[in-house]
Amino acid sequence: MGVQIAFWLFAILVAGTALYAAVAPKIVHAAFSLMATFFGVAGIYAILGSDFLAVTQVLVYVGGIMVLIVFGVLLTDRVPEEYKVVAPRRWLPALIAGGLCFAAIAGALKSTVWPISSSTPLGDATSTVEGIGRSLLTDYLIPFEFASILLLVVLVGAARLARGQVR
Amino acid sequence: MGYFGNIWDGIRTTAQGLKLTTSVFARAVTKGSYTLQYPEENLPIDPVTHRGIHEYDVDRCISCEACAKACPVDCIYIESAPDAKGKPTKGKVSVMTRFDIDYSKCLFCGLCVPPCPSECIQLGARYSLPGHTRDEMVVHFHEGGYPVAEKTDHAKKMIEEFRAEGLYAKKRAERAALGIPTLRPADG
Amino acid sequence: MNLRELLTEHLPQMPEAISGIVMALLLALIPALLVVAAVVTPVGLLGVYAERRLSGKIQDRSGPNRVGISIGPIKHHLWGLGQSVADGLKLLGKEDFVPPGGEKVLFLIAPLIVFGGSLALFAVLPFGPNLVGADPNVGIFYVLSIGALEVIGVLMAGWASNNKWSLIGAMREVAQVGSYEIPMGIAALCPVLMTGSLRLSEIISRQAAEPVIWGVHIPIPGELFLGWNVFAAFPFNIITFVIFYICCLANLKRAPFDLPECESELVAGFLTEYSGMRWGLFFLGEYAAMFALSGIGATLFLGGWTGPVHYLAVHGFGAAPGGIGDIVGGAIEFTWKTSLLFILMIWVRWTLPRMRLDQVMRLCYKYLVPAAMVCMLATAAAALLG
Repeated sequence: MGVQIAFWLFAILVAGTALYAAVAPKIVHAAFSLMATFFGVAGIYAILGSDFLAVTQVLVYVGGIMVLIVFGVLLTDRVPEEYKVVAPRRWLPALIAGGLCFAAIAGALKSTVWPISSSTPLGDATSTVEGIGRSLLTDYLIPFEFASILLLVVLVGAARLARGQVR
Repeated sequence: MGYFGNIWDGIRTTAQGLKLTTSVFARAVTKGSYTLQYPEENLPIDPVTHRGIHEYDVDRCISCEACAKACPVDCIYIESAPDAKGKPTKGKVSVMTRFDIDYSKCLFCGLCVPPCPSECIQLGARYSLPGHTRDEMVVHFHEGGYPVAEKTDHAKKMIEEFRAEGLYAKKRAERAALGIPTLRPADG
Repeated sequence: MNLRELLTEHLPQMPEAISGIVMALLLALIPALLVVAAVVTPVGLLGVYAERRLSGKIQDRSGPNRVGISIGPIKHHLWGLGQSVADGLKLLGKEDFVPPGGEKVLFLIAPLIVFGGSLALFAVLPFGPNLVGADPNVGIFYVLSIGALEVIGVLMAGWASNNKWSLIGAMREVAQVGSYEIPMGIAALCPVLMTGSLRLSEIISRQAAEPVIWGVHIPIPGELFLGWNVFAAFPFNIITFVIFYICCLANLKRAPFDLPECESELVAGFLTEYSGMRWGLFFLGEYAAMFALSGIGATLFLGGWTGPVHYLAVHGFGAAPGGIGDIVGGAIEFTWKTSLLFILMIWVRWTLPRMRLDQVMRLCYKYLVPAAMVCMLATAAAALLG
């Protein structure tokens, strides 16, 4: 029961901050509430027992992607007032369209049979770290290496693009 | 190779820096640091040339007000006892009823010192006048301030003559008669 | 569970569950408050005092040595220990304002995030045999992720101040801290390689076991220096420790990496617009993080709470494992190692000049990252052998 309440707390945190990130009038507030969303997701991972994933979520999303987003927000000029549309003018069509989308997604979610395995994710191990590490280096080695090559290409490309013309 | 040379340079200079700070630290801890622990320890001051709080011989003052007129910020306030006709006495017979210097204004410029004919006002050695209010910044020298430092031979001579004629005691009696306390007796 | 279940079964159970949750939160909160009161506050006060006195003596002057106790007849200078308390009271009395044009909410939250990040590090610090807040399976990984939290807090502070200098300081800080997380992670990986686990308690217990250096098993107790991870893949782990320490200095924004808050160029960098206790929170967070990262370094490389003093307590004085002597010996051991690293941070700060940002970046990417990789390879080889 306690797990349920903790889950609902984190779920409210995630949903609430994500909603605020979508509707916040100030972009900076939206960016930082997205950070709270990432923390909430990390909390949900922790509730599920994925300790490695929770910490990785904080490290990668909050530490990397959040910083990237905030940099992008901070380095742009202040958005002029007339571009900030918070409440759409045609609210009734927007409500109908949004409601239909929501109904479609909710229906799909409800009608799917989610496979819940009977065994706990951890199995016999006390931590997911060893399991993840082992499978990354044995079963999923090729995707792992591809991901690292992709990151290398991204790094080199970004450095090259940022450098500008080679004089 | 420049790369490893850089690494070695970094390590070497860091070690040099750390050695230097360690030596200064060791010296400061064992032999004491350069800091003076004021007010237990004080820097020495030159007794003749130091320009500090005034020293004023209230008995030899002739109330000519030359020092007050010379002061650029008008921080000296002088009043002497009135004579029989009600005018303030001047000259050798004058008894000071008020000689205040307001140290919230005083610049310690020393312009009040040369005009004095009897060399009774000097800038002295004291530099500390802490207080909580502005009124405490005013020093009432007519209550018998510090004896004048004998900074010049002429001053020494005049003080000797004054003392020999017993005029210090006479002036003190006159001031007591007027009700002005002598807090610090001049050498008399 | 659907709505019907929610209303009929779970809702009546809510009050109990909520009180259970509240109880659990309180039980989790009280140790946290105790840690803050008993550890973070003295660390902050004594750390500031130590910094001011030591820096004074290094600079051939005395630090504050007059503010002591003056209650009625009891007047003693206490060697200036009251200075930190007096400064704290002064900070509490300052005007609390938000710079005009700045973002009020972000401005107020930023010091809390930074300070919270520093406090979160204390949760996993192993002070002694049973004196640890939490011992997660991903111990050292958790420590690395907290650095990310601090970056966000500083960015918030720099932006919300509505001040160009603050923003420049914050950007520099992000570049510096983000870059130095890489060699820090690689350097922190070396003890993990030797141990085979991310868990801090296992890293400590492996250092207390008999050391195996390059496959050579040395049959003496590991607590007598040789079991420490600095000596594990000799001499590579010494270099690893130095790299980790340099990265800690960069993470803490301490000199020589204090460009983000340098006092001579950017007024106070991202701290410029902060006054009073908000600035005090940043400062306290910095000293708390100094202590915490020194503790992590001591745990990873110097054996944590195992070591000669603890060995003496257990074998010399015959303290029972788990008993009070064991715990006290472990706590003293941890404290002296952490204090040594803390004082080293102060010493280095007042010795080395500040590095320019491009020098900082060059050091990280061109020197520290390759060196950390080489050391990691060597450690992996040593771990394979042993």
